[in-house]
Amino acid sequence: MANKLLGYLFEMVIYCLPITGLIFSFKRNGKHRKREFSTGFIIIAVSCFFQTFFLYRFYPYDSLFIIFTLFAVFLLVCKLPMLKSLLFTLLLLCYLEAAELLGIATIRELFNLVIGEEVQMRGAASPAMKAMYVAVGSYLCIFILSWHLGNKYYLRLSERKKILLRICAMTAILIGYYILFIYLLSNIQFRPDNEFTTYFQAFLYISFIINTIFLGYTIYSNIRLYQSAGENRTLRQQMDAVQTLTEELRLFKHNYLNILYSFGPHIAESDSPELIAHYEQTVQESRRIGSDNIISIQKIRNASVHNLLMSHMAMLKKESLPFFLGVSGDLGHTRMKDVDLCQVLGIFLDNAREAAAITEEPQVKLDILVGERLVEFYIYNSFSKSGQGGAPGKSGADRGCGLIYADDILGKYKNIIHNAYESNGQFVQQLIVEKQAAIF
Amino acid sequence: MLKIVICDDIKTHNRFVEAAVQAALDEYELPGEIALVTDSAAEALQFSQTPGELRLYFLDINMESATEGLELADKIRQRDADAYIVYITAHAEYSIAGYRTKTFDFLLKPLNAEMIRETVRRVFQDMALVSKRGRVFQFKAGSVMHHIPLSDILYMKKEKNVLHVYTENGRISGYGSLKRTAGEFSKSFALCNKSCLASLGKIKELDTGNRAVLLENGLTLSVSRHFKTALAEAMEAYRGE
Repeated sequence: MANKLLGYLFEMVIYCLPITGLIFSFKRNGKHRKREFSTGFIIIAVSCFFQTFFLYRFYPYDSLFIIFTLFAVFLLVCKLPMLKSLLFTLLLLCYLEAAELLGIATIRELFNLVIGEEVQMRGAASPAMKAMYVAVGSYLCIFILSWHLGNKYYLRLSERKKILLRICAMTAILIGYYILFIYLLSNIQFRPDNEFTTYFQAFLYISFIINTIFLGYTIYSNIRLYQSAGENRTLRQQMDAVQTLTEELRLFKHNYLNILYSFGPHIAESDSPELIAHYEQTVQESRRIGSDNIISIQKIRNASVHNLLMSHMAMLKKESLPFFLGVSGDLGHTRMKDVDLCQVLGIFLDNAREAAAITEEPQVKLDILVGERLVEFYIYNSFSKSGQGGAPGKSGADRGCGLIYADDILGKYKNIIHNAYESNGQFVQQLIVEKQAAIF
Repeated sequence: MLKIVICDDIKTHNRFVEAAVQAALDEYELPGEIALVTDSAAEALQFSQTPGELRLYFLDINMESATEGLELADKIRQRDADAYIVYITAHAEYSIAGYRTKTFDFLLKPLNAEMIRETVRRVFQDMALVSKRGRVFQFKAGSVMHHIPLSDILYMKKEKNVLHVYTENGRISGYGSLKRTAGEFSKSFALCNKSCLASLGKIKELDTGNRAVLLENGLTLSVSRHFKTALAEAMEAYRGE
């Protein structure tokens, strides 16, 4: 009876303590998360010692004794997250192996099996149930570990899906491995002179190594992702701070302009020419801060287009041509190659700049509307054929080369819309391109 | 008679715009009147709900209530599809919102009387143009609706999902159905082949031997065997009218 109770206690320890440790490890509580993570490891380590004690008492020559002791020591002394995680994974693996094997034979029998002695197997459950149990257990362990180390809050969707796919692939491999493993263990009588025993031992070792490599690789990959996610988090925090400052500056600027312009009608009605002149001068100076181009350009995630617009903005500024950029959403990649899109936009912007430069009130405007499926570019310039007559641009052999080249590029793509027309006294180039489909 | 609504939360701005609009109406002797000057968005919205003549709205969008201003424009557009909407704002970034509400113009502060006068003049110019054009072919290209007078169209061609409309001044492309267009304008257009719709008024000659039509501008369109007879009949009917 005492032995039976001791056995139950052993079972309880072997299952409950690691689970408690796991719960502590994965519990998230803001800034105390790190501390609780360490607490979890300490609990696991203590449980390892506890189990080692029992294992040592009942099975003094058990090979698992050495493994558990080593884990316990390492878990206590190691401080590197990567090493901790790797050890943690191996520990979980051992738990699974030990728990499963205990359901079939004693540890001593396992030891005998490994050294090649005769073993009488006595499986408690059907092979299918055992396979299911171990596979689900393994899957959960890997999933929780990957989920935790992958830190889904800081990973992009595509990365999370990659992790999930890898986990599913590993689960399939594990299920296959365990089904075979359990089937063989449950149905074959092993004897020292049996040739199959040698093969089985080899299979046991190889499969264990493969399994460990797989798990190790997954954990290593996830740790790398976790580390990069940590770096991204720092960058994001910095970006958020800059964005907050920019937004505050924008609000201030808007309020300033609103207040300034609200004086306009009153000043216009005043009798003081000096005041009117001063106001006009202030307004002229304020026009420089009137545009939100820098805020708009931040929405352009496509590096090529971003850089192209930055260079054009610099050129327009150099020529003192007012430029307005409006972007309705995050602009990523389109169905057009970036190089082609940039060439076409570059040509249109060059033409718009040249055309606007010869008008009385020059202005170039680029609106980018990002929809669910389409991206629309509208390039406006203050030149109007009907309003001013003639055609702008170069003369001689180079005339119109840019537009011909743009047409050639656009001709390579289907379902692209390009229109050139006049609207409200402005010349407009309209370009509509399909967005690039997401990979995941 | 065009009804003009001015809505700005700053009363002095309202007075300024009102004076400039009135000056434009008087100067060009335009058939319009200022129907409402208000600093209340709700009042402007209520006015838009009452049925009546064509309207022109000058709506101010400022930072504190930008959403309110844009929502007002949205609601007005929902109730009054033909209305002319002009945004007035100090911030160029709101011009992008104009695509959604199909705004006619976008006036950037600081305003001057000339800007307002020019806008009013162009609104009336557009009204006159629309009434003169007669029937127009409307089709969408992204967020913009193109209006092309039927009399300007030479032919239309469908390539993949894109519908190209060729006029004497060039080409406008957008999204639309060729078959639906052919059905809608069956008296003015006829299919030459499954992807080409020719304007009957622009066809100079039908060469049945070579299965081609010659357009007035010298361009030739191929005619498929399947559509040859129907095209000839459509041309006859068009000329008979």
